[in-house]
Amino acid sequence: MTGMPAMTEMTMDRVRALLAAYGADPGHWPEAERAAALCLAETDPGLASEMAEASALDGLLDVLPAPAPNPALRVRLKAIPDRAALRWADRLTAFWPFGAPWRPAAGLVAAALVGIVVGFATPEAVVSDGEWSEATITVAAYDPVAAVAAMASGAGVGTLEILQ
Amino acid sequence: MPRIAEGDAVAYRALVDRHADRLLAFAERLVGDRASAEDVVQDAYLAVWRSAARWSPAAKVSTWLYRIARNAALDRLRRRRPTVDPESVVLIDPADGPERQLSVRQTAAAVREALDGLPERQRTAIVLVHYERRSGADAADILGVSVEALESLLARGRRALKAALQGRRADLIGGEP
Repeated sequence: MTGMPAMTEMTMDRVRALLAAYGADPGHWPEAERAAALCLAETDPGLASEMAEASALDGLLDVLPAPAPNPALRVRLKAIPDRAALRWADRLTAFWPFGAPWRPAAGLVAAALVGIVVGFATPEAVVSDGEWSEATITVAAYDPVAAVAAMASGAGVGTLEILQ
Repeated sequence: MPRIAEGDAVAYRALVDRHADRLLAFAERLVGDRASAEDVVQDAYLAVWRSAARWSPAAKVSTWLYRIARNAALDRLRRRRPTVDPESVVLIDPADGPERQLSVRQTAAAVREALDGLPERQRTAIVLVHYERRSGADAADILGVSVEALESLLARGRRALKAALQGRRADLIGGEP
């Protein structure tokens, strides 16, 4: 989107355009054109009135003081990450209004861990017959044979194989 | 910025230290009052914290911040027009006499009012270049226009300001308007 105006040489018209856009302070002018424009502006009396008008407007704009910094605002800005983290805690509290939200979360995590451990520790059962070419049933560790046998008989499975 | 995108609060706070004061000044000159400007800067930094991943290394960080602050200011301006309190924006030199102080105060209020009366893009262009001393290329980038278009905005804005403030300079220096 941006690009410097193509300039091959400085002209009075270009200096007038710079004064009209950027004002009389050469510090505001594009760096690439500054030296040549300043040289022309200072030496050509034809630009004196434009320089004076631009300078007058600059002086008026400078009557507005620089807004003062606000240290309290900085403190508030720096607290934004903390507030964002708190907001998540607030959402959890809204979801679980019965006390500290870490308790049900910890319970869920513990239950998930127990499930994973039990799942890995449980023997795998493979049931096959004419209709079910292969099925894998995971059963509770306390009585895997009885559980699989019950399920197999209920489903009309002919062959039952227990893998230990 | 990549560290902020990963949730690094230390990097974020360094960004606050480096740019917050300038953004506050920029916002105050755009929206015209202190309280709204502080809201604008808070909105801008909240957006930075949440959306740092959207920053592209092709853009200067400061340019990106000004762009975010400008968008936040535009949101505020759409919701309401600012009210100007001359007491809040005028710097008075205690060495000046009462008449001179009144003149400076009135002139500053007139400048504030004239700036507020400009179309938003002209005002933003003048604030960026004159007050924030951004280069033409930076200001054009923040506004999303070419440098030629920026210069057109600046020239039209300055012409409108000159017309609105006709006579104020002479008044300020104690001469006839």
